[in-house]
Parts: sequence; structure tokens; C-alpha cells
Amino acid sequence: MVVTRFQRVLPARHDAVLGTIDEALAFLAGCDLAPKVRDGVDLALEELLSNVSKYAYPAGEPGTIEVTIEGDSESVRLEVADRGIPFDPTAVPPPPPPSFCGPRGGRGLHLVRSVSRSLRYRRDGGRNVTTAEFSPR
Amino acid sequence: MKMDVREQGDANLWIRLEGRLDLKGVEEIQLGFTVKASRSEKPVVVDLREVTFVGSLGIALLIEAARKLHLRHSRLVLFGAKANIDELLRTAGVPEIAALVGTEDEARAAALAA
Repeated sequence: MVVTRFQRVLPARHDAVLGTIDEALAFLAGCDLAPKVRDGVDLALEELLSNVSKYAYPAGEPGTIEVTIEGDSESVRLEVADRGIPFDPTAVPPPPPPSFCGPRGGRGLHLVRSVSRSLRYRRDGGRNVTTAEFSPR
Repeated sequence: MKMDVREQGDANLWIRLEGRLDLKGVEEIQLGFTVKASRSEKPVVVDLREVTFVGSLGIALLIEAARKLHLRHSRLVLFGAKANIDELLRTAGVPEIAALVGTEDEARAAALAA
């Protein structure tokens, strides 16, 4: 089954992120995807969009996020792009295991790497473009 | 996301979650969960049987609760996670600071071991 394309450009704001995640989940629910692929896209979408809305643009500066989901029942590609400060999520080192007194947070990108087949980044004409691919295997 | 807190008079605080523990779900329960789970003097047992998805913020919420319970010499016990969620929690290293078991009986035993 061919996965029809999902594409949105949204303001880099929390409320817009929540709305777009809802739309994307409705789109994914209509695709014939393996649960592992659907959940992986779900997790990565939430992590990448919320990171951009929190950190990509200086406070008070409006910005946008571009989201594309496309593929087929075997493989799905998620692309998230913004025009914010350069940030390469693939360069973030894996966090230490959780502990009772270690640093907090910072596990989201590690989880995205874990649930995706690949995670790539490029700086393209002033844009951060992050691409994650998912497959059942 | 629904949250149901049961204080059954036994040695544990039981919290049943239902739905998606994602960005929106975490926002819906964060205050109540943190107040109940993180400030408990008893082991906190979280029933994940009806949780359909856990995102990174959901995992962060559970990790933070486990850390705060440790300060009170108590423990977080998670049980009943679906296979895909169980795998994700293990990938995130949650068993380093919380018990992650399959059944309610195993959860009682893990809470007793706290």
C-alpha cells in the first residue's frame, strides 16, 4: 500500500505542534503500517517537533517548522526542517543510563535513534533538515 | 490520558494510567502524577496495561518520579507494559532506577522488595 504524503508548515509554537501531531497521527492511522513503524514515527515526530519549538528560534522570534511524512508500508521517511540556529541532532552523544543522581533529561534523541533505521542531518540553505527513516526490521 | 490513584490500605500507592503518555498526555497528568507519585512515602506501583503509547516526555516523567521516590527511600514499580512499550522503556534504561515487571503479582513482590 502506498502511503500518501503528509506535509505541513506550522508556526514553531507548542499549540501548533500539538495540533500537527494530532493531524499526523490521524494520517498514520489511515496507513497500513506495522505497529513498530507507526510508533517509531510517532515518537520521533513528537521529539523533533517539540525540540524545534523549544530551542530552534530565539525567544520572541517567530519561526516555522516544515514536516513531511512519506513512504510505503515497508518504509517511512519523516523529515523535519526549520530555519533556526544550526543544530545537528545526530551529533548529540548518547546519554548515560538513568541514575538517581545523574543529569536529567536528554534521552529523546537517543530514543529517536533507537527506534529509527537511520537518522540524518544536513544544513541546507540556512535550514536544519533532519530525516529519520523507519522500517519494520 | 486518564489517571486513577488507588490507596487501598496496603503498603503501596497504586496508579493506573490509561491512554497515550505523549506530549499531550504528560501535560494532562504531570501535576497530579508528580504530586502523588513523587511525594509518596510508600512504593508507587504504576499499572501500564492500558497505556497505548509512551513518548520521550512520558519516559522522563517516570524517571523523574523514580528519582524523587528514591530520595524518600521508596521505589517506583511499573507493570503490565505492552511489548513495544516495555522494549522502549528498557532501551531508555528505565530498569536502572525502577522495577519493570510483567504482572500485578510481580509488581507486588517488587514493591515489597523496596
